[in-house]
Amino acid sequence: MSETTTERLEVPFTIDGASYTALKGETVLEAALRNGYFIPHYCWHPSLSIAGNCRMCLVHTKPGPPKPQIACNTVVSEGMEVDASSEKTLTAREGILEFLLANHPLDCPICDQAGECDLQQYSFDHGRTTSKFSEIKTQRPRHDLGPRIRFNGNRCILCTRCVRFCDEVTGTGELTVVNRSDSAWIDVFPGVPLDNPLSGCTADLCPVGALLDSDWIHTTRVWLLRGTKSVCSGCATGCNVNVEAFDDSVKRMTPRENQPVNKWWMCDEGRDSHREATTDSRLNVARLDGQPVKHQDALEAALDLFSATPAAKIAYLTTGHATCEELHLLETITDGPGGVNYRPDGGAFETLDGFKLSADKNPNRAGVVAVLGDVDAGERVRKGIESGQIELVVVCDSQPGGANWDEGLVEALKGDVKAIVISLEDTWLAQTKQVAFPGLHAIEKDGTFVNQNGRLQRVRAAVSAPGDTRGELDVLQELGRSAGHFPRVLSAGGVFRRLAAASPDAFGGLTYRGLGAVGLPLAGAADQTPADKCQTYYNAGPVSRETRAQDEQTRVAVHRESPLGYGTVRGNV
Amino acid sequence: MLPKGAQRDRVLKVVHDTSQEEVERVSRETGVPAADVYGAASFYTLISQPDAGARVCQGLSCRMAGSQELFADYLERGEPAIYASCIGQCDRAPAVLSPKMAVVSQRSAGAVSAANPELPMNLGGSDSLDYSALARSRELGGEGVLAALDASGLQGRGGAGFPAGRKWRAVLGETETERYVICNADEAEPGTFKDREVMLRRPHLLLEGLAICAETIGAKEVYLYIRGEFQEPIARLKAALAEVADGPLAGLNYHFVEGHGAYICGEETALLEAMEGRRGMPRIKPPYPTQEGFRGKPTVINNVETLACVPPIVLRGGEWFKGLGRTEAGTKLYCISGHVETPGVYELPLGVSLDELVAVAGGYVGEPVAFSPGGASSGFLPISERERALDFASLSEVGSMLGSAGVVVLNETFDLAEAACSQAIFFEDESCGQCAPCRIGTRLVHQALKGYLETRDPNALEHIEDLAWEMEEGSICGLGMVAALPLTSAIKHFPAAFSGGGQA
Ligand SMILES: Cc1cc2nc3c(=O)[nH]c(=O)nc-3n(C[C@H](O)[C@H](O)[C@H](O)COP(=O)(O)O)c2cc1C
Ligand code: SF4
Ligand code: SF4
Ligand code: SF4
Ligand code: FES
Repeated sequence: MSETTTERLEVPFTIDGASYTALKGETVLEAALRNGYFIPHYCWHPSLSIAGNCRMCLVHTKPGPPKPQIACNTVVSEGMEVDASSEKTLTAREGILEFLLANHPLDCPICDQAGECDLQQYSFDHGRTTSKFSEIKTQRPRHDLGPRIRFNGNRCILCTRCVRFCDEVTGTGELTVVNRSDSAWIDVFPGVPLDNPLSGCTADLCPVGALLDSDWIHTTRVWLLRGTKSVCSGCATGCNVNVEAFDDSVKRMTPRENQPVNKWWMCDEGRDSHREATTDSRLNVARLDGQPVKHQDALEAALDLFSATPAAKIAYLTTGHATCEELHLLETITDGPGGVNYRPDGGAFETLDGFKLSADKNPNRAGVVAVLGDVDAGERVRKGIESGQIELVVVCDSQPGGANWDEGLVEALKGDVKAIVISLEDTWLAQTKQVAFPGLHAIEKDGTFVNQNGRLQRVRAAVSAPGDTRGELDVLQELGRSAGHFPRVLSAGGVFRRLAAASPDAFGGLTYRGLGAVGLPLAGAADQTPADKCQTYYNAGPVSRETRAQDEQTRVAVHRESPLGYGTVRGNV
Repeated sequence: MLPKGAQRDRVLKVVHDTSQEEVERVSRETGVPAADVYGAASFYTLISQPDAGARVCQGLSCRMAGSQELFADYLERGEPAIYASCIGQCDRAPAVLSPKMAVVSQRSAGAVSAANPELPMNLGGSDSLDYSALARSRELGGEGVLAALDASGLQGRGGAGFPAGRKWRAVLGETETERYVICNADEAEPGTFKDREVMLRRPHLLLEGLAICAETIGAKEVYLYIRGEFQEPIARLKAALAEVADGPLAGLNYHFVEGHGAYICGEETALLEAMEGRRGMPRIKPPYPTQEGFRGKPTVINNVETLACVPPIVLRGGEWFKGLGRTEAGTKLYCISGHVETPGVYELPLGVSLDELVAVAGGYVGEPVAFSPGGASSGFLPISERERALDFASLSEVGSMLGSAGVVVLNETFDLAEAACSQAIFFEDESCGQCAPCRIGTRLVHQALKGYLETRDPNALEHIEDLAWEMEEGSICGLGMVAALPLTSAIKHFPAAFSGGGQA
């Protein structure tokens, strides 16, 4: 599937009479999905070995035996006629659904998967929601398999996606099927929990509500979630994610497919990264000499300070969490030296299929290099302060937990030097220096990060920031405007355009809009995958998660277009 | 993906139970993750229930002979006992397996056909140690052996009846030269115990057949996968091998792999999984074992009887063997048990009728009503089919099959609904649980029958036809495809037994 298409022969075949082409060696299911023809399936996943156990993808083929075959293990032959929707095919497929339903608790109303459950979806598609076999259902255990994954055995359809994921992708092998016949279930070995760094992906892969992320369950019905296509700020990998929110509060983060970046995966730490935005230690008011004040008062004081200081006497300090736009503004409005603090390395992990969770916990270290070039950890700023050369420091610290400046620099900052601080956390700098503004977390801001392989990607604001937070772009541009830098306050896209013009070597030819959902490589980046090659025909998460997202878009679109106003045609959509 | 150096195929050899300490020990010893060891071990009843006490066979023949009463006796005496799926001792019904895997039965070991040198298997005769067929096969060369096999018309005796010559040729046609031969001695189809007798009485015939196969297809390693309940045959075979290992079989490596209590491991790809130390779940095909079998290499998997037919074919020619059959090629080992005078294994021309077979086995006991021609998987036929040829083609004409030729006769004293229930329990217990139609379907079939037996309400069996059809269409392997057949065939041929009033 991942081989280059140009080298592979094309094989003509038909599905329900319509002509398609398959790549040589492709299975009926792959070819169908790639061509946009949907054949229901549970156990098959492009990243996993073929298990062929769910039997949902049954089709009839000619040439082929009289019995239906599983599309996921049938290779397309030249001129093959696939019957994927005749009466007899549908009846066979309905039979499979009926078995699964015969064993399935009809507890959709209290199941967190409801709304993005493939069993629910296919049952709906096939017009059956119950089984004519009304026998007693199997009882299987319900327990936690690991710190974040809860197993509800009665809902499990034993597709073994989760087991294969731990065997074939993470290679950690925590999961297994135990026992046999209808007494079989998914389990871990006692004392060896499902706690690999990507354990949350098993819940994404589970087509039903048997594996759920205990971090988010019982919080929101999925159809109430609003997804924003963004990028995780947990590390330099830059996983593409959907930040899913309800009532302006993030409920969960789920991966979006981007093959060169994160395939279909994201790590557990990344899933939790939105919690950094809701800590008690966050700065949510502006401060003047440590005292809470209105934004406007703080801004006036900051402007006074800024315009009274010659640019050459202004230095800046920032972190590997600043967006490229923020970095560009910092560099533009100051003439003194700059310094960058990075979060220390953390755990790295590499899957067998090449997904790399970076040890570098800074989402934009490569962006710092691209925008600022050669900067140090604050040595030059310290020297500047100590020599009296620097009188004002603009500190832009979006690092969760607050930046950990070098000791010498801290000593220097504690002295008479003045500072305007924009900070995610209520740090000692924010509490003790002249002016402080609350900063934004990555889930609240727009901008770009460059990941470990040089891919420039967009973060998008998914929720609003607490209190009267204006954010880095706003404050930095106000400061710059006072020094005549900007005619007006630009959006992140506007700042990016200035950045691209100012640094054509790295950013030339790139546009903010052009970055789309999957980003673009910087010149000379290790990852040169063009945008149209980043996604296959297969989304991360259960099939029905994407369907739901599309439904939602349609619904919103129809509501907008409805002459009678929002909500009136909901019933028809 | 396993950690480097992990020895997965040793897992099932060294694991004894599913206790935490044992699984951890095996995981350390083999380098296989604990969950993996645990999952594999829990699949097999001999490992998951190691100290269960006496294993009382609940196969159909044993049930008919009173195994349920026997089981109750155990419990009354306070001796630990569990039910077991057919243990391959139907001729000694009711049979029990002691915790040490010894067969306990009131009846003496099975009868076989009287010695007759004109019979290829000749179970009543004795083994010779001269391995003249192996010598002859070397004279003939590979192509000569294959030509003889083709001419013999030998169809696989494990159940599917696939031509043996074609299977060997398929492996020969593969470019990969690391190849394997595996003898399928997992004999566990209820009503079947012929391979047991071959191993006990003619072990050299089997060892020689394996050697010829290995030399013909160019394999060095020969495996025998024998169900663990067959301790006596295993010991006999090992002793036989010791007799000749340095002689005619020098240069070939024979390996014994014991099964651990899972009928499904008789299915050839499940057998491969078990041999590789995993849960015995059938693989999806293609690829077939002849293409990617043991350790992913081309592999011939043949039944014991198939392989034992090879030496006589090589010695006396394919035409000779073929001529011994009546409707199809060769002689066949028919197992017969249930309501007949002398249960046993009889070697008869392929295609004899039930009446002829039972005549050899001393006649019917009581008034025969129904029979199962080829194990549980073949369903039930009415006694009106008593003159039908017991061969592959004739039986499939009536929706049944020769299968393993484990024939069970039922007389008027046994309720067909009970009989169907016995088979339903077997399939439910033995389903590997991999695919939904079989995993859930076998349970539904059993539940429906149980419901019927409790209430005698025909409504309990509503939808059985649909269920059976869906299982047949959707299952991965033969088990699920036929698991509803005992019930549907019984309903079809004996409607009175399912109409509410008990057996007509
Ligand atoms: C559920 C199931 C159980 C089987 N059990 C056995 C068995 O116990 N012994 C056997 O030789 N073949 C058994 N088979 C058939 C094997 O899959 C395979 O076809 C056979 O070993 C091939 O050998 P043959 O060609 O010599 O018959 C079974 C098949 C199925 C589907
Ligand atoms: S828990 Fe989910 S993913 Fe795992 S086998 Fe069950 S249904 Fe499949
Ligand atoms: S690997 Fe890095 S970018 Fe991806 S989810 Fe984890 S923390 Fe976020
Ligand atoms: S049909 Fe039954 S035994 Fe065969 S693979 Fe499916 S569940 Fe396992
Ligand atoms: S997707 Fe084909 S069998 Fe599951």
